[in-house]
Parts: sequence; structure tokens; C-alpha cells
Amino acid sequence: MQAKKKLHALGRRIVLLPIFLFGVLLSAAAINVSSGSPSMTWAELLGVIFSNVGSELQRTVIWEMRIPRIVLGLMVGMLLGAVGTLMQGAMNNKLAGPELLGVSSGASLVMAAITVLHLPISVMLHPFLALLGGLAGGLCVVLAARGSRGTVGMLLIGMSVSAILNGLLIALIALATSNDVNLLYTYLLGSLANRSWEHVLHTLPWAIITLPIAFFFTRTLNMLQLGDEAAAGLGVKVLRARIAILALCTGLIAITVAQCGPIGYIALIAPHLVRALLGTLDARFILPLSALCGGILLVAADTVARLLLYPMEIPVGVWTTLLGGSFFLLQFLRKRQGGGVDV
Amino acid sequence: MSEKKRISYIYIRVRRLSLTAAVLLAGITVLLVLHIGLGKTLLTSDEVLLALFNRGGEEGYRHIVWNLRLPRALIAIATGMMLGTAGAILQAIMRNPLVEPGLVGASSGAVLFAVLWTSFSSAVWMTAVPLPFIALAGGLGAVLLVFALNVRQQSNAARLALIGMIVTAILQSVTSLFLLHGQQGLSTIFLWTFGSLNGRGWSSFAALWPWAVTGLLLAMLYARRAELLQLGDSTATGLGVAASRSRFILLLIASGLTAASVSVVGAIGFIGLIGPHIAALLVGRRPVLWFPISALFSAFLLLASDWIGQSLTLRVPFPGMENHLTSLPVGAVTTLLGAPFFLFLLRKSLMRK
Repeated sequence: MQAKKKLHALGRRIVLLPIFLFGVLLSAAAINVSSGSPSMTWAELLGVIFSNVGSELQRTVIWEMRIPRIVLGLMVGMLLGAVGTLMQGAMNNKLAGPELLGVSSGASLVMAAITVLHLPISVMLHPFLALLGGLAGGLCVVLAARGSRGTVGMLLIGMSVSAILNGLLIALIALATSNDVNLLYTYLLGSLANRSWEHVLHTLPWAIITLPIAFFFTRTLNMLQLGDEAAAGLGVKVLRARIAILALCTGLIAITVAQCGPIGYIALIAPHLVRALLGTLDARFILPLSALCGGILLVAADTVARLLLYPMEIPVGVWTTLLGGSFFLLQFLRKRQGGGVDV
Repeated sequence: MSEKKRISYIYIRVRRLSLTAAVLLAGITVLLVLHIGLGKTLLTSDEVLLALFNRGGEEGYRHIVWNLRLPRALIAIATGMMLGTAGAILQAIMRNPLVEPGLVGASSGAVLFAVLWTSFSSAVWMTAVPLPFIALAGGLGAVLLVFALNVRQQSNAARLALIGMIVTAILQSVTSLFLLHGQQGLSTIFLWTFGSLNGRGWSSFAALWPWAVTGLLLAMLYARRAELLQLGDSTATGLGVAASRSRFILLLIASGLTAASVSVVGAIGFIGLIGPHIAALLVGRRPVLWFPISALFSAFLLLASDWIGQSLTLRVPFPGMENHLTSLPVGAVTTLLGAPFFLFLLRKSLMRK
């Protein structure tokens, strides 16, 4: 009886939460699209979007600048949200995230090197190279962490590898001409500014291929959450599954970094929010909603980044680090008091 | 017999200390000449020495050496000493090998307050209160915050470092927020968050040296108390030291040293980590010996890093970088040297558990 009631509540939440999230998404997107220069009233906005009226300027601004930016933000956020769930599940560590495991910095270092050194590489290949960089960064962390136990050690090792990679990045930036320095904004802080449909088109095929693959792993994730031994008992090849999931994560991150740089902490927060809201640990429900939630977080953060200090635009990565870092700290301290996370 | 033994022990210690100090001083002197010789106009060490001692040589060289390169080298030495001492103090009072000013938030807090102060205060206040005081408030606040966040649990070296790193990341993003808001360029951000010696002259040195002298003297005065604190709070109290007060004073000294160096050159990372560790290998961790050697070694290290950074920019041609103007910020070099070192220490401390 009790169990049935609980299941019922879960079912209700699973239906209601996406509706709520879509509502938030729509309002964030609407605010993002309508504000800025030129600013528009709601009537004008609806006219431009649905019936193709309005001035040439308005149409261009909306269709060529603001909407692709939102679409890209949503897509990148979704990828990041999925990454967060996958990583936290695979490592069985609720504090894992790409920015803490050297993957983001590895990928952004490669992208920065391409930009600064003017390497003649086609844009379509950039995600591949970012993937290699991310894999190298992640591999460094895994190798350095070999033999050490516990959450804190792993995270710290990840952060110090990131620090090394960022040092290299700074060296590159400092050696570059000032023109490139502004381009590199992106690769240090993460930003969605000046994105067009072209960027969306470069991201789309990757997202379409990789996101469904992520769903294949949800059952494995559920078993991995039980701990390595239990999962092995249930027939999961733990090591192989973990490597496969982490490789997939690296791929997902590489795509996002290639388009917008390392946007921190979205991947960390999204799964936590969804878990708290849903009240379940079942990865089959968490993964899609966490992806959605990540997309919304990023679009909302981007809206704030554009508008809060208008007309000055702050790279969205600054905001996400600011908010996400504080969230992480809270989470970390809370967990420790409960004795939940082993150190 | 035992008295004799004790005396010979002290004798060995003192000889070792003076030997190490002499070697380090010699190293710093040699490096100073090399460092001054390096730049767009390369000078030989003869020319440098002639110009330094005003013994003839070209007038232009003397200008370059005295007005451009000497202050920069001196600032490198001073900040190195300050950061090295600050790192040693922090490691001593926290009894934690993974600590340094940049990792417990001292540097980033100081940077944040300095940036806030320079962008929001009026001109009157700017002249009334020197920047290092404000930076000191920020640095101390950040360290206390990290402390407070860590205080409830049993002491754990890695945990404190993790909290410190996250607080640093947050403070850094707040800083870049304000810098961007104030329409400052990216170069300013890099300069503050990574630390650079580019373009520092005598005026910067004038702002720095009083702090360096006071801070280093105070650190030496309090070295004995730090030594007692290393034995643990209850022992220190038993020996007649007001443990928490001494710790706070030492923390204040460390923050002051960090803040003053940060307000002149920005947050140079990891020097305060490597210097004290290698100094401890040379003379052990007794603060009376450790602090001065750590200061000297860190000065040597920072000067060397700046030299490396400059020669990399001057000598290694990268494609597409032929017409760059700035040289590699010294903070990037120290990070590249120091982060792997941190990794090594971290592994050691994690494996031991």
C-alpha cells in the first residue's frame, strides 16, 4: 500500500516536473529573446516569430542572433546535464563533474592551441581534437589518482591537473597577439556570445548521436550505484562499463567545449536538482530530466549574463562558476556533516 | 658529555644553515645578473655589472639596468621572500603540508578586495588608505572563511585544500565579474589572477619594501611561537603560549605578506608551496631555521621563474606569435612548476592514509 502510494507520487512528479521545467524554459527563453538592443514588446516579438511581420532589423536580430544562441545554449546545457548524471553515476561520486576531472581544461587547451597557433584544421574536425584533448586531460587525472582512495583526493587531483592545463593555456594566451586574446575569452571562461546557426549545426549531429547512446547506459548506471561489488554480482563488467561511460562523457564534453568553452558546474548541479525534485535515484528518470534541467539552467544563466549588467555582457561561465561553486561547497559541507561521502 | 653532544648538534645545525643560506644568496646574486641581462636588448654579465656599479659602460645600458630591469628583479626577490615566508607560516600553523597562500584563499581574497577598492572607492579614500591594507582585509577574510568552513571536522589536509580551491574559484569568478563590469580588458584579469612582473618599476618597489621588511621581521620574531604551535595546541598552551592568539597573529602576518605582494604583482601561485617544502628538505621544519631559508629559496625560485618566462618569450618562436609584445606572466610559469609539485605532494599524502 505504502509502496504503491510512493510510486504514485513518483509518477506524478515525473509528469509534472517536465511540464514545470518547460514552463521555466519558455519564460527564460522569452525574456532572453525580447530583451537587449533593440528591445521589443511581447506583441512585436510574437509578430516577428509567428507571422513574419516587423522590421528587417528585428527579424534579423531575433532569427539570426538571439534564437540560435538560445538553441545552442539549450543543446549544450542538455549535453552537460547528461554528462553530469553519467559521470556521477559511473564514478559513484555525487561531486564529480567535468570541470573537476581535467576533461574540460584538456579540451579547451586544445581548442585554444588551434585558435592561437592558427593551425589549418577544418571546423568540422574541432570536436574530434577537443575530444582527444579531453581524453588526455582525463587520462592524466585517472593515472595520477591511481591507488588513492576517496572523493576528496580524486577531486583535488583533478583540480591540480586542471591547474596545470590552465597554466599552459595562460602561457598560450600571453604569447598570442591581442586579437586572439579576445577570441580566447571563450576558452577560459566559457561564453555563448556571438553564436549563430552555424554553431548549432555543428553541434546538432553530435548531440543527436551521443544523447541516445547515453540512454543505453541508464540500466548500468542504476547497478553501478549499488557499489562495484553488487554491480559485478548483477553481471555488470564494472571496469569496462565505467570506461565506456567516461569515454562517452568525454565525447559529450568535447562537443560543448568546442562550441562554447568550459562552462563549469552545470553538469554538477543539474543532476542534484533533479534528484532532489524527483526524490528518486533511478537513472532512467534522472538522465532525461537532468539533461532538460541542464539546458534550462544554461539558458537561464545566459539570460542573466546578458541582462544583469546590461549593456555589459558577462561570459556565462563566470556566472555558472560563481553559483555552481557555491552550490558545490554547500553540498560538500552538508554531505560531510551527514557523513555521507567517504573522504 | 650530553652537553657536548648538544653543542655539537647546534654547531652542525648552524653550519648547515649558514652554508645553505650562503649558497642560496650566491645563487640569487648570479641569477640577478642573468635576469638583468635578459630582455629585448641582451646584455652580457660584464655589461650588467659595469652598469650596476656605474663603472663606465654605455649610458643607455645604465638607464635600462637601473630604471627598467633592476626594480623588476628586486620586486621578484621581495615577493618571492614574502610568499615563501607566508607559505611556511601557513604550513606551520595549520600543520598541513598542502597549504599555501593561493590555496587557502588568501591571494584571491586579496585580489578581490583590491579590485573592488580600485573600481568603487572615491579618489579621497584611495589616497587615504593604501591598497595593501584593503587587500589584507580581503585575504584575511578569505582565509578565515576557509578555516570556518573546515573547522567542524577533524583536521584533514586534502579536505582543507579542496575547500580552499573551491573558495578560490568562486572568488576569482567574482573578481572577473567586477573587472568585466568595470570594462577592464582581459589582460587586466590575467594580470590579477595569474600575477605578472611586466612593467613594474621603482614606484611598485617603493610600495612593496616597507611591507616586506616589517612582515619578514615579524615572522622571524614569531618563529619561536610557531615552533611551539607545531607541537600541538595543548602542548603549546602548557608551555605558556596563548595558542589561538599566537595563531591569529601569525595568520595576520602571513595574510599581510600575501596581501602586500598581491597588491603589487597579482596572485602568483604555488611559490609559497614549493619554497617551504624544499627549504624543509634542506634545513628541517623548525621555524627559526625554516622561515629564512624558505624565504630565500622562494626568492630564488621566483626570480628563476621570471627568467624562464622571459627567455621563453624571447627565444622560442611560435608560429603566429612573431609580433607579441608582452612576456609570459611569471604566474603561469610558477603554476606550471608548482601544480605538478602539488600533485606529487597530494599523492604522497593520500597514499599514506
